[in-house]
Parts: sequence; C-alpha cells; structure tokens
Amino acid sequence: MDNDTQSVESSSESKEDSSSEPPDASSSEPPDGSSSEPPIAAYNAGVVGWLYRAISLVGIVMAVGGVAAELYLHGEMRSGLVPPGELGSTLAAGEPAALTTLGIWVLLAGPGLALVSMFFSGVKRKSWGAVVLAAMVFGIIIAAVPIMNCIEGGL
Amino acid sequence: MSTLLLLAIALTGFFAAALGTMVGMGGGTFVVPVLVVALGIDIRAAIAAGAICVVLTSLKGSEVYLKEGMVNMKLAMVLEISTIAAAIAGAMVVIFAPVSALKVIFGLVLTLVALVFITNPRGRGSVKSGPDPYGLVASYDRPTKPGQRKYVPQHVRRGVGLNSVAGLTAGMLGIGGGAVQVPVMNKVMRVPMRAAVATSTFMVGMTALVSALIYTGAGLVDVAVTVPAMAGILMGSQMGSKMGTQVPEATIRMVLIVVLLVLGTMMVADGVGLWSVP
Repeated sequence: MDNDTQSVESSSESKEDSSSEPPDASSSEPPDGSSSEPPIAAYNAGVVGWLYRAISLVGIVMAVGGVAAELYLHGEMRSGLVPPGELGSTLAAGEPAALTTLGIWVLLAGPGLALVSMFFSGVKRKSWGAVVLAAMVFGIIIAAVPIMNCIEGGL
Repeated sequence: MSTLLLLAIALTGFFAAALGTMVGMGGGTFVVPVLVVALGIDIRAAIAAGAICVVLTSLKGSEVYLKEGMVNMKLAMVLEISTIAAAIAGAMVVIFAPVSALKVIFGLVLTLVALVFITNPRGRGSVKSGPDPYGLVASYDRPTKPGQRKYVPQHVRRGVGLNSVAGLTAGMLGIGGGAVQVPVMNKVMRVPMRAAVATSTFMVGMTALVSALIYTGAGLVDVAVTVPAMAGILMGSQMGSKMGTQVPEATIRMVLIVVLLVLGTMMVADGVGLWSVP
C-alpha cells in the first residue's frame, strides 16, 4: 500500500514543483492565519521521539531477557502476566516472569507517557487547543483502565 | 509451551513483519491470522499478542518519523478521539464474541483489504492551501527534493468518522488499524502518502494500547505467544524495510494479494468449521 500510493504522492509532488510558488513558501503562516506557529510544532516531537526510542529499547530488552532467563532457569515459561499486585514481590524474588511482565508494561506505558509529554509541551507553548486534544485522548485511554479492572473482577 | 513452538511463533512474527513492512502495513496484520491458521494459537491470545506487537512497532516506527517531522501530531490527536473510543468497543467484542465469529470477521476484513489492493483506488493529491478551520496545516522536509511539502487535510469530519472504523477494526482484530487509516487519510483527507503513513504509525500505538489494556484485564495476554512474536516482528520489520526498496513493487503487490486472500479464506473456513489446524 505504501508503495503503490507513493506514486500518487510523487505525481502530485511533481505537479507541486512545477507550480510558480517556491518550495520554501510552505514554511510561511498557515492559510487561515489562526496561529503563528505551525500546529505540528505545538507538541514537542523531538522529546516524544526520544521517549519512544528509550521505552522501546528498555521494554523489549526486559521482556526478551525475562523469557530467556525463564527458559534457562525453568526450561518452560508461564503463559500469563504476573498480576500487578504481585509484581513487586516476584521482582524482589528474582522471578524472570516478573521481568517479562514489567517489560510489557514499560512498552504499554510508551504512548501514555508521550501524551503526558505532549500535554505539558502544549502548556509550555500556550497552545491550548493542542493541550485540550492531548488531555481528551489521554482521558479516553484512562477510561479503558476501569473497564480493564471491571473485566478483571468479572464484570 | 515447547521451545520449538516459541521459535515457530518468532519466525511467524519475522516473516509477517517483513511482508507487512514492505507494503507499509506493519507486522500486526499478518501475525494474527498466521498464528491462528498455521500454528493453531487461540485467536484471542493471538489478537492480544498482535495488539502489544502493534504498540512496539508503533514506538519503533514513530521515533524515526517524529525525528523527520513527518507526523502531523495535531491531526493524529483529532483522529485518535474517535479511533480510541471505537477501539474500546472493538476490544469488548473480542472478549464477548464467539471465537468462530471473530475468525469470520477477521477473514472478511483480510479479503476486503485484498480487494482494496486489487482495485487500487487513486487519490486526488494533496491540497497545500485553503480553508483550515481546525488548524491542521502541516509541512515536512521532502526526502528526495529540496524544500518543504505543505498540506492542509481536507474533509476532517468525514475522516474522523471513517477512522472510527479503523479503531473498531484495531480493537476487534489486534491489527493496529493502519490498513484502514492510511487509505482514509490519503484518499479521503488528501494527506500526502508519506505523512499519512507516518501519522498512522504514530496513532496505531495509542489505539492498540487501549485494546491491550482491556485484553490484559481479561487475562487474554499469553506471554509465551506475545514475547516471541515481538522479537520476530522487531527483526522482520527491519528486514522488510530493506527489502521493500529492492523487490519490484508489482511482485510485492502480487504476493500481498495472494497472502491476504489465502489467509482470509482460511480464517473464514476455520470460522465456519470447514477447515481447522491439523
């Protein structure tokens, strides 16, 4: 899909290039003049990118390391995640399954942490529309947690 | 679970991600059906593993796109509101729907995606100026030419509505939703392809997160399926991105259509009881 529609992009790119407008004109103000800052800069993409890199690296190392350790020590592995309430004690006991579970939770924390970072970035730049959007998306994700707990408790 | 099966799951993740990355769909779309029809993994465990794998591939893919400034983060936030809400509903379907129904739905979605590739509807190109009531205008550095490419997303309300379909699919099937999001952004909202793929890659992580949380609560996450698949996907997506530039587009397209149709047919056949894993 990527490749076949890239031809659409490239054809429109060439059309764009043949227009009289110089390429650098795109860096000017948005057409509606609603803001002097391009919306894409309302969130700090650099920080989110760095956060994603760190989280994916730490998460995958912990998860795969936990599985490898469990296979090495026990010759087999448990199928489910360690329940959140037992995570601390099993980690302290040096159980590899706890490391795997923690690795998965670290990965799952990534998008949530990105939203928190985007929220504060918007506040810092006083881009209130961006702040409200980040808060709304974060709120909906948080709404999944009570649903998760309800299901965990058997609804 | 035997070491051999863990290895088979990792290999499945590897090849599925290599193919998925070559066509810009990520690894999740193929991992779930192959785990089910080839290895006989429980479809709910496969869907939960698929969702967590999507979070991982989104984190890995987005870090590059974010660095290059290709992700339209504000557009992503606008679209995510409806997408995530629909993903929650989709995840609930996984928990309560019969396994056979999930297989049939999955098979039909795969067949539908194959049909999209066969018909290959063309977009009308991006719009670089004009009304922008939601302030979603963005630009990015052209990778092949000097200067920036600017675009104003069109038909935002329609895009928000259609993205809820992506969310529902993602929540219900654990495949991320990029297969729906990218065409909607590119063909309907007239977002340039590169920006659509980048923004979708960023979005699918958040969409898959809500589904993964709900699957976790329901106890559907099987570590023995999820972690080997994650490791395979991570390596396969790197190989796929390299191969994507070397293998002719027509070949990739043909392989993709055949794989989608075969997997779709097998999933439907499995769902209605005509075929099952030996």
